[in-house]
Amino acid sequence: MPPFHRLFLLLALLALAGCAGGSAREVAQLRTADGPASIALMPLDLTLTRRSAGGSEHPVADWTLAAERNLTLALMAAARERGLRLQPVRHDLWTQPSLRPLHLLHRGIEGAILAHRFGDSRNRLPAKAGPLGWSLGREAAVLRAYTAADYALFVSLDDSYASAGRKALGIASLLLVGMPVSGGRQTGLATLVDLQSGAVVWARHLDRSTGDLRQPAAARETADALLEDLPQ
Amino acid sequence: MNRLPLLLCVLALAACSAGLEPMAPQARPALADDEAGVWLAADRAEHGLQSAPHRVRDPALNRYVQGVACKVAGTYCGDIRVYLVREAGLNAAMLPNGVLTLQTGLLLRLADEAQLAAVIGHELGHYVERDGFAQMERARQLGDIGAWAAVFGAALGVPGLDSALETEAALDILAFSRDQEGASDVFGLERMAAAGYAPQAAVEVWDLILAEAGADGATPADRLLATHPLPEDRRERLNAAAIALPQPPEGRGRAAYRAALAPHRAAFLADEVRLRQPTATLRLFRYLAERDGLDAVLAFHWGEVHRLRGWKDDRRKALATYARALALPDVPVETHRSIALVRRALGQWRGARFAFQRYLAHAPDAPDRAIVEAYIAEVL
Amino acid sequence: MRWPVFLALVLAVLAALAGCARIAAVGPGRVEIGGGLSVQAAAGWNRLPRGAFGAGAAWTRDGPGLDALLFVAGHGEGEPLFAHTRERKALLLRASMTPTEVMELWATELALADRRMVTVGSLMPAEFAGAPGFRFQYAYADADGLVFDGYAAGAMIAGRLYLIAFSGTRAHQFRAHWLAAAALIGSARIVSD
Repeated sequence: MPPFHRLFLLLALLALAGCAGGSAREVAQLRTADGPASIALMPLDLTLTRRSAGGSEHPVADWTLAAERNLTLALMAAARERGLRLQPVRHDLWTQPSLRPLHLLHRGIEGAILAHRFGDSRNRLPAKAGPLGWSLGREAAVLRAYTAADYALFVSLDDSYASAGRKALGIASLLLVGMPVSGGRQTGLATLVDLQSGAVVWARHLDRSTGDLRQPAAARETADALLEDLPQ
Repeated sequence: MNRLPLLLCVLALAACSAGLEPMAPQARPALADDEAGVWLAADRAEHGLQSAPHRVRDPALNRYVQGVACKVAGTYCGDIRVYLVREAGLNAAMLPNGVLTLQTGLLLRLADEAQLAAVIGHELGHYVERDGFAQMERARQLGDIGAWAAVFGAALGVPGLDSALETEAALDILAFSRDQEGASDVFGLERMAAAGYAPQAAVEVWDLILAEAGADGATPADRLLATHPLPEDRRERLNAAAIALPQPPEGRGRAAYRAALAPHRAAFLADEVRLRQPTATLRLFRYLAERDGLDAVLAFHWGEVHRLRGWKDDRRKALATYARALALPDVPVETHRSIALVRRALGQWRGARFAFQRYLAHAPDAPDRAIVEAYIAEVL
Repeated sequence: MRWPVFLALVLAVLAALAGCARIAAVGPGRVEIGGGLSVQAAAGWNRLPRGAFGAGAAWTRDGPGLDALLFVAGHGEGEPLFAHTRERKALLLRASMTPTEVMELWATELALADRRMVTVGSLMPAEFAGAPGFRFQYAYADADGLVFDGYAAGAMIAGRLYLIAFSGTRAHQFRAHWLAAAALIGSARIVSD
């Protein structure tokens, strides 16, 4: 990556660093023609990383796999408690070539929501109508054909943990110079897409220094935080 | 300030972190290893590459390049997966999980199968020696030392300690990467020679890249060299090692390579022209013509470089080059349109009209027929 | 969660510019772009801070990583299409350029902006702002593999290039916002001073 790109990325990260979590919804209720609406849980987009003493982040494979399992079960339990029918799709769904455009489009929309809805207030799109106003359009029908569900729930999450070295550094820094050292962070975005219209009807942004997806019980807490104001 | 303690610190690190075991054939890091995290990220990148719009899908070309990779890789054949990406750059890159990406700009420049084998052999070295992971680990360790230095420096009232170490660390990473590249050169050379290719081809690849650097400021060659520190002696070391090896006269695979590339060469030439780095591109085209001979497709694109630059002498040169293309078999039909555009720019209206008409005569279903008819009406 | 690289870059540019400007709503109504060019805008367009994409003006509906409307408002001999290529002599406009050559330059600009698989075509004569002009289509993929379609229309008027280009994701935004973009392009007017 050319150096000036790196500078730009750094600026972008700084712009995002100040923001906390939040949520936005277009509808108060999920459409129910006959009984509770069915929601397909898309393959989770998770990365669990270890933060070294120096602050760089390193993906950890076994944590990530454990987190996929823990958060899937936790989300299903949390949805059940809310009276929602949440059904995970097969984990290799995105290898289907016909779903590639939808997957990339959704990722682009995630980026836009993060930047223009939950990011710096100067990046809001003032001409955009409604609380969200993004749509996957006709591509949603392709996913509807695959899942036979009314809605699709997407969850993307980065979860970092301080390594033993970073924890030790934090203690040393506090004792010797009285300065804290930042530890782990959980940042993510959940979006709910109406597969009939393609509209993104709900989004929730998480950005906090708590949470642990490596443990089933703590994953349940993250699931509850993610689905907090999901329309019923 | 005295650099000795810092140097000792970095040297100690070098001593204790040296020597990852080479990757065994058909191996994968255990799930609990740090290296598995690097593989996870690479696997995800590979998933994106599989359906990437800029992936070259031609099964024949993919089969051919994968075949060369297998010949060079030997027992690692099943571990290396080649992805050809349609980009005018000349980079080759190995991900830690065995994904080898080759930019089409590189394929355009290579002369034969032996040169391709040299590139693949070098990249294979990075895979087998686990260089990507090793470099990340080293950067992490240096970062850790820097963080500790910052805390202790502040506590002991030596505020410059961490920034002094940072310089030391940056130099260390550069040296580390240079060592990896040098080791991969030797590894690749031995591999390609063992597979029956002429080792001198490896030196030629470096000469090819060096010849293009520094022409237009930020050419693909310059970008490549910016990330591949290449002291002149690295080329010399490679050369000395290559000369010492047997030179099989049949080890070039020129015809096979050119045949595999042939269906795509015009498109890759057009990608190069589109970047509008005329000095570097003209240098490249002159080199290709000397090496492979001038054919109509190369002559047409050569003319295009002059036409698009359009400096005072360029239009005359463009017309002369198009004329050479027209004298050769299988001239691209667009040559006539380009001649017309140059003549029009020169105010040679009759010549322009004639060439536009020849374009439409040769390509009656041209997608831009309507606009060309408008040009003809304009220059009547 | 790998946020699109391209979007991060656009965002970064916005963040860098944030000190002086923020994204603003434009229209509904007639909007002056500069260089004598004006367009009739329906509701729903956002104007990005000056300098975004290096264009004279850049608008979007869903965000610059999903769709973009770019304006070239009266650039003459020796000027670049986009501000950031001013230093590249091989990329400057010439007043005598044909639509074919403008389209080729557009393709180069896209390729240099890290777009992959750039294609341009379907070049046709077409009226623009009441003058004889041209239109063409283009397509590309961004660094994350998201595929975009684009449509550009313009004219060389008195040695100056006026051009409006709209691009959006092939999967949704191009189709979804096409009518709004086409109406806007059709409403272009040029008042010479």
